[in-house]
Amino acid sequence: MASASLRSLTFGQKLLILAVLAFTIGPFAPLIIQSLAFRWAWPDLLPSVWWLEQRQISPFPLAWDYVLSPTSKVLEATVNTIGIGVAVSLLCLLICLPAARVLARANFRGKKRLEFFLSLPLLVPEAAIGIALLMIFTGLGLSGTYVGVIIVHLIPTVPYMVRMLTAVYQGLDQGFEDNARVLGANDWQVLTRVTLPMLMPGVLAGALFTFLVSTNLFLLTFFIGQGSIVTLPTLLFSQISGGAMGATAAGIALVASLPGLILLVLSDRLIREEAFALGIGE
Amino acid sequence: MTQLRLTDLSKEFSDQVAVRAVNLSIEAAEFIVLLGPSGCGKTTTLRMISGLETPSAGAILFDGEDMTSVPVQHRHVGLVSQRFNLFPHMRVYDNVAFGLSVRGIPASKIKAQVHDMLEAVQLSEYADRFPSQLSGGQMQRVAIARTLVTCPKVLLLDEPFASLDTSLRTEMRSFLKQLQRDMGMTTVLVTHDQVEAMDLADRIAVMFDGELAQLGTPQQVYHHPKSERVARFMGHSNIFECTVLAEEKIETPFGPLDASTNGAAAGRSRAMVRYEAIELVEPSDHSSAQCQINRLSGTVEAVEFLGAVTRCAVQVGAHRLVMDQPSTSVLEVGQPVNLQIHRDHIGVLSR
Repeated sequence: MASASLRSLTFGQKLLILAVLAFTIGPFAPLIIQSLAFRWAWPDLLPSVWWLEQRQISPFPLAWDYVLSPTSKVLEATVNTIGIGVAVSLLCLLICLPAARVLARANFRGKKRLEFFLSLPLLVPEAAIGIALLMIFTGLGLSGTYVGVIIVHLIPTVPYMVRMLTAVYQGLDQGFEDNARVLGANDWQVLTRVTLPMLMPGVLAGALFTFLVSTNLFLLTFFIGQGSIVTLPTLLFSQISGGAMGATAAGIALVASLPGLILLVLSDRLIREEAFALGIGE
Repeated sequence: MTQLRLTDLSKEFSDQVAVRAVNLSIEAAEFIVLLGPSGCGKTTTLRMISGLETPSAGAILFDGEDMTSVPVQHRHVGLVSQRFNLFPHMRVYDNVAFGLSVRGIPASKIKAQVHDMLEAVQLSEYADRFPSQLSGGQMQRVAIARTLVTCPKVLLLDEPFASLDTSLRTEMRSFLKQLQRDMGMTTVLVTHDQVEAMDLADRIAVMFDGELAQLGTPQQVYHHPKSERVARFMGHSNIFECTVLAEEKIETPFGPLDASTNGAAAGRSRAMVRYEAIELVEPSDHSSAQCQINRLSGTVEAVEFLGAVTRCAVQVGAHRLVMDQPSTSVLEVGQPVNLQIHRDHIGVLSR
């Protein structure tokens, strides 16, 4: 079916799709080339010496040899990044689900102002938040700890999540929950058997988004983590802070983009299955 | 079978009174229809019975037991709403089983009961479908099955036919009526459709502006409305000024008439006659005195063919009366006619 619809596209449409593909995949090409280069100096368009030509000297691409070795801390950073990302997503959900429910269902004085207030963290520069919080967190003994980093990651993610889940909640007719209660379900049963399953596509999308934001946060992690908590973004920045783009940096950049890619594929499948179960896929 | 009583039931929302001191006694196994225009408080009343809305004042009693403060999930009522609200992520089987499984009934028992119920609504072969794969009528039957399988004390229906098309509506109406008779379940249905109300109800409770305007059998409410508003809401009628002279006697613009005065006090009032209650009679000089009662003569002024009936406006003296005749009788504009209205069908309305 996909090929049939591809053929039915006009030349212009095909050109547009090609352009989109070039823009999305394009930036990765130099990274891949760089990570496989042996020597690549300015102004050469392509590496002057490829790793493959020098495989007698290094049986493994140099960059990847370093990236995969324990000295690079890539493994530790990956585990940290994913761990923090999961924790942030779950906490964010826990905070935002009840908040979104109230924002979507209830009417109270100052609701509009509260909604604006909730998006304020997105307007204030991260550096300002980071420096201010570092002072507070140091006083509290939270700087350089996982707890501190997780809390600080909630700052830019909560506003997005609240907005997303409010929209999702608004799409859920209260009649479903009412009917469940009339049928004898208690609050917990309503939540776990009706509300959450029905909100699942939105919740999943929100959690995925939070995870991606969290795994890409550099500045806040850097400030609060105090260098003792290494994540993929901080590792990458330490490699490229000099302005040069080395082969190892390219390798780390590629590793750093992996969690997002894997999650994207996973969530796409999950959401599609969910949508099918809801009968939307038919 | 549960007897249901509402005493001085009221509901105030922040800016308005939705229901004002409604008193209603519903017999066990009775089918009551709450009828009224939108915003009259009928749905709020239903939601208060279900427990989804908390009354501001008054009480709800099931078999004499006060249920006013019992939470929704412990009331054992059934609610079928306009949009059915079937759980879209559950198959038909799980939708019907929901009310049993949340009450902790063992799976083996649930299975038997759900299958029996699906059989009763003729949906056995649809057990594995998702709601989105069903037609409107099938969704409605699942919604009813899901509710009835829990054996509710009171069945509450909120405009259950509103989202169905006309032919299906009639079919589902008789299906529901049969089911209610068979199961002998105390039922309260909310609708704004008076035809639906008269078809289904044992008794109709007409509501306006949060108040109970009249309670009675469909015949009583239709033919003997207490007020002009009920008369107009239930169907077409001629409404005219009158003066009550004595019991069963009124003076009207069409002359003195015998009427059912419903105990109205002497004095100025209004009276009503349904379009179809006016009979066309042959002029006869030799008829008995009995036949001369409430006899009027006039001229056909306008004729409207409406399929089943022909609607004619007849000029009687200085005033007009509208009447419905079976469309098989042929009437022409300008034709002189003799009319008779039975005294039971002239009702004096309270102000």
